[in-house]
Amino acid sequence: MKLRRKDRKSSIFLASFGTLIAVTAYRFGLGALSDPGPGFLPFLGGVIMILLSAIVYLGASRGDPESERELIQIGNRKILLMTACFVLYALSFRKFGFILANFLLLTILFQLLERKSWFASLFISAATIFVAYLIFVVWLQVQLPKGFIGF
Amino acid sequence: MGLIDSLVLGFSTGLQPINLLYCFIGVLMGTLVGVLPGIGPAGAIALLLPATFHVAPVGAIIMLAGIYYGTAYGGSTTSILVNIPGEASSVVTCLDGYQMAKQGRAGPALGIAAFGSFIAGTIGVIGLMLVAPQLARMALKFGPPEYFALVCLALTILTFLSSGSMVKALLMAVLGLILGCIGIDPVSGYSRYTFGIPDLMDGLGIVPIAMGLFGLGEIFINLEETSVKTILKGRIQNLLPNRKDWRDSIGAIFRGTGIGFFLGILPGGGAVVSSFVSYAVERKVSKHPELFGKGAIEGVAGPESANNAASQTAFIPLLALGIPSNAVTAILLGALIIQGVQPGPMLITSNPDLFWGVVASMYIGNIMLLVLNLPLIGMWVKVLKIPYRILFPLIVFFTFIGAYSVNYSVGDLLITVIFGIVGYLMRKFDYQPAPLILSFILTPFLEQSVRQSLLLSDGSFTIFFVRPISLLILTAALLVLILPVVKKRIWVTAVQDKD
Repeated sequence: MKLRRKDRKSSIFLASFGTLIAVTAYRFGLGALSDPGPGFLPFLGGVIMILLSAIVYLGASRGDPESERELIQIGNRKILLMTACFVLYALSFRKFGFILANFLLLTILFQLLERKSWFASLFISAATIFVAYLIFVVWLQVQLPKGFIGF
Repeated sequence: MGLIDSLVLGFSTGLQPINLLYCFIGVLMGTLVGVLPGIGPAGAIALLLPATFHVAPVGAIIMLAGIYYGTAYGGSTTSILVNIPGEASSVVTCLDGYQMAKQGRAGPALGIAAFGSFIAGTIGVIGLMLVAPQLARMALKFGPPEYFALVCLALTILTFLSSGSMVKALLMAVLGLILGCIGIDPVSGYSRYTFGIPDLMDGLGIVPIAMGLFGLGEIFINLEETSVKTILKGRIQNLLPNRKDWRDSIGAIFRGTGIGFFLGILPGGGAVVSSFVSYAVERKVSKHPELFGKGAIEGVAGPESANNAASQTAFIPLLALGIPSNAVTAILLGALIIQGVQPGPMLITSNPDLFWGVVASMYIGNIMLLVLNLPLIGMWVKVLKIPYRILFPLIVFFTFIGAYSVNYSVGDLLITVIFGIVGYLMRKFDYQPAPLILSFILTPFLEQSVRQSLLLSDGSFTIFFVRPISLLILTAALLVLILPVVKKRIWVTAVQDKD
């Protein structure tokens, strides 16, 4: 078992999650053993999760203290920006419609990943949207939202 | 139905022009995905899943399966030429393949990889054809307790074979279980963890989760790494391995095929593990172990054959039992369910055109792949020149379209993003995604088995231990769980004894 110090953080998180699940599942009703209720399986899951997290925590505590200094760089700017982008994209998808929302998404992504000329990003986005439109809307006949611009 | 009749049915289905087209698209995509680092078969299959909804089940599975065994071919290309594995199953190929390329022997390396893959893949399909129906017949005698035991065994073997800590893999399996409980409980009609959101009533979908974990998650991780790739210059001459190459490799090919064949069936086994085991075995049996790592062709032939055999036999538990053995087959199971096909031992007998059509198309697919990977190798090298900053947004784009088109739900888009973050965090903290997705897809099945078993036994847990088959399987699962602990104990006492 290769457990390191940093696993302590994740095991605490998972233990808390497990506790939350176990408590809420209990309230769903465990039912009788001969007729298990809706809470039965999640409760079991939550309990096992707590137990396993404890094992991880104990195992991790015996780990090499050096590795705690191992800087886990969680998330850099790019990833956070991208995530924010994605969430906004998802929320505005219906409003803006397939074509506009994706056009914006692609353009922003191309720009974000590496500063190239705006023209190139816009052009590739447009080309991709066009091809995708052909594939998804025309060929596969997927219903994609039109948004306020009408197409 | 006799074997010959079944094969006739299979080929008459598989050779239909539309199914040939799906097969071709599948293996083409598979090779492409295999060549391109940064997206794997799980992500690609999740991505293309929604596109298959308007397609008949046979065609859908033919195509998606083609992607899977196609990646086992394509991954070797980048491993050999650029020392960057296109797939986890081709990591080992880098070791000797790249060395061979540096010695000007890229051609024979690529050639033997392709031929070995073809031989192994074909033997794998033969195995699928012969073993699956027998296994299904045996499984018909299984009742709910046996299924429960089988799922437990599948999950324990998977966690055992997972890289990294077994406990952490089990944690992920439990997490998958809990996620699988979200939604309306089919037995009681009770709403679990839906928070009143209608999108969650049917539960989380396998598609957004798979796309998030394996698609977006990989992309987030790749964003952090900036590596400079230099494609090996120089033309690739003579793709055909010479006589000596064949003599050296033929043993490795067959050993690899055998290893991949058996490990592919095991849950948690699959292409990746098979390739590593094959490399280790080849080094052990070789008369010149010192050559390994310096361009030994056996180091390419063995693993590449192993990963192909494994990609084929992975379909055996999926099609015969309805139990997936790895993340990819878990997603394929989801595809089957969405298509309205009932997975389980009855699948082969109630959908013979599906099973035999897929088998036939696998033979055809392997031939197509041999052609795609040999003469057309130059094309794939050009594909590698597409810069990441163009590739990633495209992958993201298709991921989102796919996720939306499943249920036309914006909620699914958000779930995909959330699981993209989850997938990223999991990789950062060294947790494996495969156990999660496997147990997620099996949860409804697991829950049903447990409840039915307990109903049968009137609440007594002994039912799992009284029935012989179920007892046997559960004991095996238990052994797998305590094996690492036992091994450690023995090792520790041995070390202490030495003092």
